[in-house]
Amino acid sequence: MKRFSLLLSVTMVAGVVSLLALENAPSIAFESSTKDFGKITQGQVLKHVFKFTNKGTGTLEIHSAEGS
Amino acid sequence: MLSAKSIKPGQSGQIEASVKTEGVAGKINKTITVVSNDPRQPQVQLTITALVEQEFPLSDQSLYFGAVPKGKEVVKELTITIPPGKKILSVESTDQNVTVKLVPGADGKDAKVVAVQRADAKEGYHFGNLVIKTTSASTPEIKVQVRGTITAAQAN
Repeated sequence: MKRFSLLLSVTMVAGVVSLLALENAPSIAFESSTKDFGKITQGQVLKHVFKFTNKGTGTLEIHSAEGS
Repeated sequence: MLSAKSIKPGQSGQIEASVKTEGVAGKINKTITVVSNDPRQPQVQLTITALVEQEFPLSDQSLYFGAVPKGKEVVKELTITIPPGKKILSVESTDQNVTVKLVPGADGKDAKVVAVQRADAKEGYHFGNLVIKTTSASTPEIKVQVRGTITAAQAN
């Protein structure tokens, strides 16, 4: 029983820690993550702006944005 | 291209994407991977799709002369379809080892672009573009990549 309650409290601490981490976590939310240009004529340069908002409570750091 | 690297809670940012479609035909599907410190989704995939159509459809999007020994002339050709009311003005090669000429079809609906890798082309890899000028405002210029490799002359 003692071991069980110890295990339980450890689990609870871990739960609280992860909740705290998520509470101060950033959250990236794109308005849309896809863009379909449909039919276009060859030679055109397709330009699109993907907008996003940080809907979390921590500062969002973008490490990289790379195309394939 | 990225607007800013650090975004505070409630603030917005943007990722500017640009896709070139020169020399591309058919369906395109480009993916951008965004890596951030968001613990729930550290990687987000953004996709751009389009169906690229040619106003002047080409039978080939590029010409490759292959690897041939020095001293040998190689001829490659492609057919260009000309839409009604439009014309082809000229064709030039930016690759000094390649000469090009236009052979108009009898009915004006198509033309052959005949490219010749010169017999006196220098040894090594070469590449450039065939630049086709047209009367179309939306496609004033079409570029077709040409490339080839000239190897050492064969001993007789």
